[in-house]
Amino acid sequence: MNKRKLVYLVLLLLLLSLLISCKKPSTVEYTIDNSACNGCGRCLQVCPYDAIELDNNGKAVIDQTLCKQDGLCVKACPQNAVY
Amino acid sequence: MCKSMPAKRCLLIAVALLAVVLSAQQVSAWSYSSVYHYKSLYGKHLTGYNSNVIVDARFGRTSVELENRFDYTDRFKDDVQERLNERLQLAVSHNWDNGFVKGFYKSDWFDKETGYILPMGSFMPYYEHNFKQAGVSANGNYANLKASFNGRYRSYNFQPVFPMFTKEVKGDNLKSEAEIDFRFYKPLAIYISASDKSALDSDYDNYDISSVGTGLKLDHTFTPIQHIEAQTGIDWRESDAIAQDRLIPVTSKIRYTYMLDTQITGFVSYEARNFYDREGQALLFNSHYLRASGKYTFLYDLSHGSYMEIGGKAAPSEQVKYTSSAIFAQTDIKLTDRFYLGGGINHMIERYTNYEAKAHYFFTPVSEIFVDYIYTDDIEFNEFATYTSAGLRLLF
Repeated sequence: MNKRKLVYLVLLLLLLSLLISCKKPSTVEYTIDNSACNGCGRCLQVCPYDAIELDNNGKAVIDQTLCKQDGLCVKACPQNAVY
Repeated sequence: MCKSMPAKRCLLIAVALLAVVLSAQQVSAWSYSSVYHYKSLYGKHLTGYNSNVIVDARFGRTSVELENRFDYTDRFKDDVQERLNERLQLAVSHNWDNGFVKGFYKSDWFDKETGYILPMGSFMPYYEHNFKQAGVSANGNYANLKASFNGRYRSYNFQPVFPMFTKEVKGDNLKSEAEIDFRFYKPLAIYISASDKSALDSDYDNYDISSVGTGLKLDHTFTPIQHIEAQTGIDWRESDAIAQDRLIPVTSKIRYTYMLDTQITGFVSYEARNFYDREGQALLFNSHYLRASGKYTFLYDLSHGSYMEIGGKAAPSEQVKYTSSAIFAQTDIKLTDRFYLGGGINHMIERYTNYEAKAHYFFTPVSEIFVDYIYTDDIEFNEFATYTSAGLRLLF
Protein backbone atom coordinates (compact mmCIF):
# COMPACT_ATOMS: atom_id res chain seq x y z
CA MET A 1 0.00 0.00 0.00
CA ASN A 2 1.53 3.31 -0.96
CA LYS A 3 1.68 6.29 1.37
CA ARG A 4 -1.12 8.22 -0.33
CA LYS A 5 -3.55 5.31 -0.02
CA LEU A 6 -2.63 4.83 3.62
CA VAL A 7 -3.25 8.51 4.36
CA TYR A 8 -6.66 8.37 2.66
CA LEU A 9 -7.53 5.21 4.60
CA VAL A 10 -6.62 6.79 7.92
CA LEU A 11 -8.62 9.90 7.08
CA LEU A 12 -11.61 7.79 6.10
CA LEU A 13 -11.47 5.92 9.40
CA LEU A 14 -11.15 9.22 11.23
CA LEU A 15 -14.19 10.68 9.49
CA LEU A 16 -16.18 7.55 10.23
CA SER A 17 -15.22 7.78 13.89
CA LEU A 18 -16.38 11.39 13.92
CA LEU A 19 -19.75 10.54 12.48
CA ILE A 20 -20.46 7.59 14.76
CA SER A 21 -23.68 8.01 16.72
CA CYS A 22 -24.15 11.65 15.90
CA LYS A 23 -26.30 13.11 18.63
CA LYS A 24 -27.58 16.64 18.88
CA PRO A 25 -24.54 18.90 19.18
CA SER A 26 -23.81 19.86 22.77
CA THR A 27 -20.70 21.77 23.75
CA VAL A 28 -20.10 20.67 27.33
CA GLU A 29 -16.63 22.18 27.65
CA TYR A 30 -15.19 25.38 26.24
CA THR A 31 -11.86 24.69 24.53
CA ILE A 32 -9.14 26.82 22.90
CA ASP A 33 -8.24 26.33 19.24
CA ASN A 34 -4.45 26.28 19.59
CA SER A 35 -3.77 27.25 16.01
CA ALA A 36 -5.98 30.36 16.30
CA CYS A 37 -4.83 31.58 19.75
CA ASN A 38 -2.24 34.39 19.66
CA GLY A 39 -1.66 34.47 23.43
CA CYS A 40 -2.95 38.05 23.94
CA GLY A 41 -4.29 37.09 27.38
CA ARG A 42 -7.66 38.88 27.21
CA CYS A 43 -9.47 35.66 28.16
CA LEU A 44 -7.36 35.50 31.33
CA GLN A 45 -8.40 39.02 32.25
CA VAL A 46 -12.14 38.47 31.89
CA CYS A 47 -12.36 35.03 33.52
CA PRO A 48 -13.70 35.59 37.04
CA TYR A 49 -12.75 32.09 38.17
CA ASP A 50 -9.00 32.11 37.45
CA ALA A 51 -9.65 29.16 35.11
CA ILE A 52 -7.36 30.18 32.21
CA GLU A 53 -3.58 30.33 32.07
CA LEU A 54 -0.95 30.57 29.35
CA ASP A 55 1.05 27.41 28.68
CA ASN A 56 4.76 27.26 27.93
CA ASN A 57 4.09 28.08 24.27
CA GLY A 58 2.20 31.23 25.24
CA LYS A 59 -1.19 29.73 24.28
CA ALA A 60 -4.25 29.95 26.52
CA VAL A 61 -5.40 26.76 28.26
CA ILE A 62 -8.68 26.30 30.11
CA ASP A 63 -8.53 24.43 33.42
CA GLN A 64 -11.75 22.41 33.19
CA THR A 65 -11.86 21.88 36.96
CA LEU A 66 -12.28 25.64 37.52
CA CYS A 67 -14.33 26.61 34.43
CA LYS A 68 -17.96 27.50 35.12
CA GLN A 69 -18.84 27.87 31.43
CA ASP A 70 -20.17 31.41 31.65
CA GLY A 71 -18.69 32.10 28.20
CA LEU A 72 -17.02 35.46 28.94
CA CYS A 73 -13.81 34.24 27.30
CA VAL A 74 -15.72 33.32 24.11
CA LYS A 75 -16.82 36.92 23.75
CA ALA A 76 -13.50 38.48 24.77
CA CYS A 77 -11.29 36.56 22.34
CA PRO A 78 -10.38 38.77 19.33
CA GLN A 79 -9.21 35.71 17.39
CA ASN A 80 -12.44 33.71 17.84
CA ALA A 81 -10.27 30.93 19.25
CA VAL A 82 -12.60 29.76 22.03
CA TYR A 83 -15.33 27.30 21.11
CA MET B 1 4.89 52.78 36.08
CA CYS B 2 7.35 52.24 38.93
CA LYS B 3 5.49 54.72 41.16
CA SER B 4 2.62 52.27 41.50
CA MET B 5 4.77 49.18 42.16
CA PRO B 6 6.71 48.18 45.24
CA ALA B 7 10.28 49.53 45.06
CA LYS B 8 11.75 46.07 45.63
CA ARG B 9 9.91 44.61 42.64
CA CYS B 10 10.82 47.53 40.41
CA LEU B 11 14.48 47.22 41.41
CA LEU B 12 14.43 43.47 40.70
CA ILE B 13 13.13 44.08 37.16
CA ALA B 14 15.75 46.78 36.49
CA VAL B 15 18.66 44.67 37.78
CA ALA B 16 17.54 41.58 35.86
CA LEU B 17 17.16 43.59 32.66
CA LEU B 18 20.57 45.23 33.04
CA ALA B 19 22.33 41.95 33.83
CA VAL B 20 20.83 40.20 30.81
CA VAL B 21 21.57 43.00 28.35
CA LEU B 22 25.16 43.62 29.50
CA SER B 23 26.27 40.00 29.49
CA ALA B 24 24.75 38.75 26.23
CA GLN B 25 26.45 38.12 22.90
CA GLN B 26 23.34 39.05 20.96
CA VAL B 27 20.36 41.02 22.23
CA SER B 28 16.97 41.64 20.63
CA ALA B 29 13.97 43.43 22.11
CA TRP B 30 10.30 43.82 21.25
CA SER B 31 8.01 46.34 22.85
CA TYR B 32 4.28 47.09 22.62
CA SER B 33 2.49 49.90 24.40
CA SER B 34 -0.92 51.48 23.94
CA VAL B 35 -3.50 53.69 25.59
CA TYR B 36 -7.17 52.95 25.09
CA HIS B 37 -10.57 54.36 25.84
CA TYR B 38 -13.86 52.46 26.00
CA LYS B 39 -17.24 54.15 25.98
CA SER B 40 -20.69 52.59 25.85
CA LEU B 41 -24.06 53.98 24.81
CA TYR B 42 -25.24 54.20 28.42
CA GLY B 43 -22.26 56.23 29.52
CA LYS B 44 -20.03 53.54 30.97
CA HIS B 45 -16.45 54.41 30.14
CA LEU B 46 -12.94 53.43 31.09
CA THR B 47 -9.43 54.38 30.12
CA GLY B 48 -6.42 52.12 30.28
CA TYR B 49 -2.81 51.59 29.41
CA ASN B 50 -1.00 48.38 28.64
CA SER B 51 2.51 47.47 27.63
CA ASN B 52 4.54 44.39 26.93
CA VAL B 53 8.33 44.34 26.71
CA ILE B 54 10.37 41.27 25.77
CA VAL B 55 14.15 41.25 25.88
CA ASP B 56 15.91 38.20 24.48
CA ALA B 57 19.62 37.70 25.06
CA ARG B 58 21.60 34.87 23.47
CA PHE B 59 24.74 33.21 24.70
CA GLY B 60 25.48 30.64 22.01
CA ARG B 61 22.83 27.90 22.35
CA THR B 62 21.52 29.35 25.60
CA SER B 63 19.04 32.19 25.67
CA VAL B 64 17.61 34.29 28.47
CA GLU B 65 14.25 35.98 27.97
CA LEU B 66 12.78 38.64 30.20
CA GLU B 67 9.16 39.61 29.66
CA ASN B 68 7.24 42.30 31.45
CA ARG B 69 3.51 42.95 30.98
CA PHE B 70 1.79 45.93 32.54
CA ASP B 71 -1.94 46.59 32.45
CA TYR B 72 -3.83 49.45 34.07
CA THR B 73 -7.54 50.28 33.84
CA ASP B 74 -9.05 53.20 35.74
CA ARG B 75 -12.41 51.44 36.15
CA PHE B 76 -12.77 47.71 35.95
CA LYS B 77 -16.25 46.52 36.81
CA ASP B 78 -19.40 48.59 37.30
CA ASP B 79 -17.29 51.75 37.27
CA VAL B 80 -16.17 51.26 40.86
CA GLN B 81 -12.90 49.41 40.79
CA GLU B 82 -9.58 50.12 39.13
CA ARG B 83 -7.32 47.29 38.05
CA LEU B 84 -3.53 47.28 38.04
CA ASN B 85 -1.60 44.20 37.06
CA GLU B 86 2.07 43.62 36.37
CA ARG B 87 3.53 40.33 35.19
CA LEU B 88 7.21 39.48 35.12
CA GLN B 89 8.60 36.35 33.50
CA LEU B 90 12.20 35.24 33.35
CA ALA B 91 12.99 32.18 31.24
CA VAL B 92 16.29 30.44 30.52
CA SER B 93 16.42 27.89 27.72
CA HIS B 94 19.13 25.77 26.19
CA ASN B 95 18.73 24.33 22.70
CA TRP B 96 20.56 21.53 20.98
CA ASP B 97 20.05 19.87 17.62
CA ASN B 98 17.31 17.51 18.82
CA GLY B 99 15.53 19.42 21.52
CA PHE B 100 15.55 21.98 24.29
CA VAL B 101 15.19 22.41 28.01
CA LYS B 102 13.66 25.53 29.55
CA GLY B 103 13.15 26.81 33.05
CA PHE B 104 11.03 29.81 33.99
CA TYR B 105 9.85 31.94 36.86
CA LYS B 106 6.67 33.99 36.55
CA SER B 107 5.18 36.43 39.00
CA ASP B 108 1.83 38.20 38.72
CA TRP B 109 1.40 41.23 40.89
CA PHE B 110 -1.83 43.19 41.47
CA ASP B 111 -2.07 46.50 43.24
CA LYS B 112 -3.67 46.21 46.65
CA GLU B 113 -7.44 45.95 46.45
CA THR B 114 -7.65 46.10 42.69
CA GLY B 115 -10.03 44.02 40.57
CA TYR B 116 -12.41 41.30 41.61
CA ILE B 117 -12.23 37.56 41.17
CA LEU B 118 -14.25 34.55 42.32
CA PRO B 119 -11.59 31.95 42.99
CA MET B 120 -12.16 28.22 43.34
CA GLY B 121 -15.92 28.34 42.87
CA SER B 122 -16.43 30.84 45.67
CA PHE B 123 -19.65 32.88 45.62
CA MET B 124 -18.01 35.72 47.54
CA PRO B 125 -15.66 38.10 45.71
CA TYR B 126 -11.94 38.36 46.41
CA TYR B 127 -9.39 40.92 45.35
CA GLU B 128 -7.03 39.72 42.66
CA HIS B 129 -3.70 39.06 44.23
CA ASN B 130 -0.24 37.79 43.65
CA PHE B 131 0.68 34.57 41.88
CA LYS B 132 4.08 32.99 41.70
CA GLN B 133 4.94 30.22 39.28
CA ALA B 134 8.08 28.30 38.49
CA GLY B 135 8.49 25.47 36.06
CA VAL B 136 10.52 23.46 33.59
CA SER B 137 9.79 22.12 30.15
CA ALA B 138 11.84 19.81 27.96
CA ASN B 139 11.49 18.42 24.49
CA GLY B 140 13.64 15.86 22.68
CA ASN B 141 13.67 13.91 19.42
CA TYR B 142 15.59 10.66 19.10
CA ALA B 143 15.15 8.69 15.85
CA ASN B 144 11.42 7.92 15.67
CA LEU B 145 10.73 8.97 19.24
CA LYS B 146 9.65 12.39 20.44
CA ALA B 147 9.23 13.13 24.13
CA SER B 148 8.06 16.25 25.93
CA PHE B 149 7.58 17.23 29.56
CA ASN B 150 6.08 20.29 31.24
CA GLY B 151 5.91 20.91 34.95
CA ARG B 152 5.05 23.94 37.01
CA TYR B 153 4.57 24.93 40.62
CA ARG B 154 2.10 27.71 41.43
CA SER B 155 1.36 29.48 44.67
CA TYR B 156 -1.53 31.88 45.15
CA ASN B 157 -3.09 34.12 47.74
CA PHE B 158 -6.46 35.91 47.65
CA GLN B 159 -7.72 38.53 50.09
CA PRO B 160 -11.51 38.67 50.66
CA VAL B 161 -13.49 41.78 49.75
CA PHE B 162 -15.77 41.10 52.74
CA PRO B 163 -13.49 39.66 55.44
CA MET B 164 -16.36 39.43 57.92
CA PHE B 165 -17.94 36.72 55.76
CA THR B 166 -14.98 34.92 54.17
CA LYS B 167 -11.35 34.28 55.04
CA GLU B 168 -8.13 34.60 53.09
CA VAL B 169 -7.55 31.87 50.48
CA LYS B 170 -4.01 30.65 49.94
CA GLY B 171 -2.33 27.54 48.72
CA ASP B 172 -0.22 26.00 46.00
CA ASN B 173 -0.40 23.25 43.44
CA LEU B 174 1.83 21.24 41.17
CA LYS B 175 0.96 20.50 37.55
CA SER B 176 2.90 18.16 35.29
CA GLU B 177 2.29 16.66 31.89
CA ALA B 178 4.30 14.36 29.64
CA GLU B 179 3.86 12.90 26.17
CA ILE B 180 5.76 10.36 24.08
CA ASP B 181 5.20 10.08 20.31
CA PHE B 182 6.45 7.11 18.32
CA ARG B 183 6.52 7.59 14.54
CA PHE B 184 6.05 4.05 13.25
CA TYR B 185 5.46 5.10 9.64
CA LYS B 186 6.53 8.44 8.26
CA PRO B 187 3.20 10.33 8.24
CA LEU B 188 1.79 8.41 11.23
CA ALA B 189 2.64 8.41 14.93
CA ILE B 190 1.11 6.85 18.00
CA TYR B 191 1.24 8.79 21.28
CA ILE B 192 0.67 8.24 24.97
CA SER B 193 0.23 11.11 27.41
CA ALA B 194 -0.26 11.66 31.12
CA SER B 195 -0.99 14.74 33.21
CA ASP B 196 -1.68 15.57 36.81
CA LYS B 197 -2.60 18.66 38.82
CA SER B 198 -2.52 18.27 42.60
CA ALA B 199 -2.87 20.68 45.47
CA LEU B 200 0.07 20.56 47.88
CA ASP B 201 -0.81 22.72 50.84
CA SER B 202 -4.08 24.36 49.91
CA ASP B 203 -7.32 25.59 51.42
CA TYR B 204 -8.96 23.91 48.43
CA ASP B 205 -7.79 20.48 47.36
CA ASN B 206 -10.88 19.24 45.51
CA TYR B 207 -9.74 20.73 42.18
CA ASP B 208 -7.18 18.01 41.53
CA ILE B 209 -7.26 16.23 38.20
CA SER B 210 -5.23 13.48 36.59
CA SER B 211 -5.53 11.94 33.15
CA VAL B 212 -3.91 9.49 30.78
CA GLY B 213 -4.48 9.34 27.05
CA THR B 214 -3.46 7.66 23.85
CA GLY B 215 -4.14 8.13 20.16
CA LEU B 216 -2.92 8.49 16.62
CA LYS B 217 -1.43 11.51 14.83
CA LEU B 218 -1.04 12.14 11.13
CA ASP B 219 1.10 14.87 9.59
CA HIS B 220 1.53 14.73 5.83
CA THR B 221 2.43 17.09 3.02
CA PHE B 222 0.93 15.73 -0.22
CA THR B 223 2.59 18.30 -2.43
CA PRO B 224 4.16 21.67 -1.56
CA ILE B 225 0.70 23.20 -1.85
CA GLN B 226 -1.33 20.71 0.20
CA HIS B 227 -0.80 19.79 3.83
CA ILE B 228 -2.92 17.79 6.22
CA GLU B 229 -2.77 17.27 9.97
CA ALA B 230 -5.07 14.95 11.87
CA GLN B 231 -5.29 13.48 15.32
CA THR B 232 -7.66 11.18 17.13
CA GLY B 233 -7.32 10.12 20.74
CA ILE B 234 -9.01 9.16 23.97
CA ASP B 235 -8.43 10.50 27.49
CA TRP B 236 -9.36 8.94 30.79
CA ARG B 237 -9.69 11.66 33.43
CA GLU B 238 -10.14 11.40 37.19
CA SER B 239 -11.41 14.43 39.08
CA ASP B 240 -14.07 15.34 41.61
CA ALA B 241 -14.33 18.79 40.03
CA ILE B 242 -15.60 17.55 36.65
CA ALA B 243 -19.06 16.11 36.07
CA GLN B 244 -18.99 12.32 35.88
CA ASP B 245 -20.36 12.37 32.33
CA ARG B 246 -17.33 14.38 31.11
CA LEU B 247 -14.53 12.08 32.26
CA ILE B 248 -13.85 10.19 29.01
CA PRO B 249 -13.57 12.43 25.92
CA VAL B 250 -12.64 11.09 22.48
CA THR B 251 -11.23 13.96 20.45
CA SER B 252 -10.66 13.95 16.68
CA LYS B 253 -9.17 16.81 14.66
CA ILE B 254 -8.42 17.41 10.99
CA ARG B 255 -6.78 20.47 9.44
CA TYR B 256 -6.31 20.75 5.70
CA THR B 257 -4.26 23.62 4.24
CA TYR B 258 -4.24 24.44 0.54
CA MET B 259 -2.11 26.98 -1.29
CA LEU B 260 -3.71 27.74 -4.64
CA ASP B 261 -0.81 29.97 -5.67
CA THR B 262 1.49 32.48 -4.00
CA GLN B 263 -1.46 34.84 -3.49
CA ILE B 264 -4.31 32.60 -2.32
CA THR B 265 -4.16 30.25 0.66
CA GLY B 266 -6.84 28.67 2.77
CA PHE B 267 -7.54 26.05 5.36
CA VAL B 268 -10.41 24.02 6.74
CA SER B 269 -10.29 22.48 10.20
CA TYR B 270 -12.80 20.29 11.96
CA GLU B 271 -12.85 18.99 15.49
CA ALA B 272 -15.25 16.62 17.19
CA ARG B 273 -15.33 15.77 20.89
CA ASN B 274 -17.36 12.76 22.02
CA PHE B 275 -17.87 12.02 25.70
CA TYR B 276 -18.48 8.40 26.71
CA ASP B 277 -19.60 6.80 29.95
CA ARG B 278 -17.13 4.95 32.19
CA GLU B 279 -17.72 1.64 30.47
CA GLY B 280 -17.08 3.21 27.07
CA GLN B 281 -20.45 1.94 25.87
CA ALA B 282 -22.79 4.93 25.67
CA LEU B 283 -22.09 8.22 23.92
CA LEU B 284 -23.28 10.94 26.31
CA PHE B 285 -22.45 14.17 24.46
CA ASN B 286 -20.74 15.22 21.29
CA SER B 287 -19.65 18.60 20.01
CA HIS B 288 -18.49 19.83 16.61
CA TYR B 289 -16.27 22.73 15.65
CA LEU B 290 -15.70 23.71 12.03
CA ARG B 291 -13.44 26.57 11.00
CA ALA B 292 -12.53 27.73 7.50
CA SER B 293 -10.53 30.68 6.29
CA GLY B 294 -9.23 32.03 2.96
CA LYS B 295 -6.55 34.67 2.47
CA TYR B 296 -5.55 36.73 -0.55
CA THR B 297 -2.13 38.40 -0.38
CA PHE B 298 -1.29 41.37 -2.58
CA LEU B 299 2.06 40.74 -4.25
CA TYR B 300 2.88 44.43 -4.79
CA ASP B 301 3.72 44.58 -1.07
CA LEU B 302 7.02 42.69 -0.82
CA SER B 303 6.66 42.35 2.96
CA HIS B 304 3.44 40.29 2.41
CA GLY B 305 1.69 42.63 4.84
CA SER B 306 -1.17 43.56 2.48
CA TYR B 307 -4.00 41.04 2.44
CA MET B 308 -7.71 40.31 2.55
CA GLU B 309 -8.97 37.45 4.70
CA ILE B 310 -12.41 35.99 5.22
CA GLY B 311 -13.44 33.12 7.46
CA GLY B 312 -15.94 31.61 9.76
CA LYS B 313 -16.41 29.08 12.50
CA ALA B 314 -19.40 27.01 13.53
CA ALA B 315 -19.81 25.41 16.92
CA PRO B 316 -23.51 24.61 17.33
CA SER B 317 -24.67 23.70 20.80
CA GLU B 318 -27.80 23.09 22.79
CA GLN B 319 -26.03 22.74 26.12
CA VAL B 320 -23.98 25.82 26.94
CA LYS B 321 -25.36 29.28 27.45
CA TYR B 322 -23.86 30.64 24.24
CA THR B 323 -22.95 29.19 20.89
CA SER B 324 -19.57 30.46 19.65
CA SER B 325 -20.33 30.46 15.90
CA ALA B 326 -18.95 33.50 14.07
CA ILE B 327 -18.04 34.94 10.68
CA PHE B 328 -15.20 37.38 10.24
CA ALA B 329 -13.29 39.33 7.59
CA GLN B 330 -10.29 41.60 7.78
CA THR B 331 -7.92 43.46 5.53
CA ASP B 332 -4.74 45.52 5.69
CA ILE B 333 -3.58 47.46 2.64
CA LYS B 334 -0.30 49.27 2.01
CA LEU B 335 -1.23 52.70 0.68
CA THR B 336 2.12 54.44 0.54
CA ASP B 337 5.70 53.39 1.20
CA ARG B 338 5.17 53.12 4.98
CA PHE B 339 1.49 53.71 5.61
CA TYR B 340 -1.15 50.96 5.97
CA LEU B 341 -4.91 51.20 6.28
CA GLY B 342 -7.07 48.28 7.37
CA GLY B 343 -10.27 47.13 8.94
CA GLY B 344 -12.50 44.22 9.67
CA ILE B 345 -15.86 42.83 10.69
CA ASN B 346 -16.37 40.16 13.31
CA HIS B 347 -19.93 38.91 13.77
CA MET B 348 -20.56 36.43 16.57
CA ILE B 349 -24.02 34.95 16.17
CA GLU B 350 -26.52 36.18 18.79
CA ARG B 351 -23.81 38.03 20.69
CA TYR B 352 -22.16 41.01 18.95
CA THR B 353 -20.83 42.55 15.76
CA ASN B 354 -17.52 44.41 15.78
CA TYR B 355 -16.59 46.90 13.04
CA GLU B 356 -12.91 47.81 13.10
CA ALA B 357 -10.81 50.44 11.31
CA LYS B 358 -7.08 50.81 11.82
CA ALA B 359 -4.12 52.75 10.44
CA HIS B 360 -0.44 52.25 11.08
CA TYR B 361 2.76 53.93 9.98
CA PHE B 362 6.18 52.26 9.92
CA PHE B 363 8.77 54.84 10.92
CA THR B 364 11.47 52.14 10.59
CA PRO B 365 11.14 48.91 8.56
CA VAL B 366 10.08 47.00 11.72
CA SER B 367 8.70 49.61 14.13
CA GLU B 368 5.31 51.28 13.83
CA ILE B 369 2.81 53.64 15.37
CA PHE B 370 -0.88 52.70 15.16
CA VAL B 371 -4.44 53.90 15.77
CA ASP B 372 -7.31 51.43 16.13
CA TYR B 373 -11.06 52.09 16.36
CA ILE B 374 -13.69 49.40 17.09
CA TYR B 375 -17.44 49.96 17.10
CA THR B 376 -19.38 47.19 18.83
CA ASP B 377 -23.05 46.44 18.32
CA ASP B 378 -23.72 44.28 21.37
CA ILE B 379 -26.73 42.16 20.41
CA GLU B 380 -26.78 40.31 23.71
CA PHE B 381 -27.18 43.43 25.88
CA ASN B 382 -28.75 45.64 23.21
CA GLU B 383 -25.95 48.16 23.60
CA PHE B 384 -23.44 50.04 21.45
CA ALA B 385 -19.85 50.75 22.45
CA THR B 386 -16.66 52.22 21.01
CA TYR B 387 -13.07 51.24 21.73
CA THR B 388 -10.27 53.53 20.61
CA SER B 389 -6.58 52.81 21.07
CA ALA B 390 -3.26 54.23 19.95
CA GLY B 391 0.24 52.97 20.53
CA LEU B 392 3.67 51.85 19.43
CA ARG B 393 5.27 48.57 18.42
CA LEU B 394 9.05 48.63 18.48
CA LEU B 395 11.60 46.02 17.49
CA PHE B 396 15.32 46.42 18.16
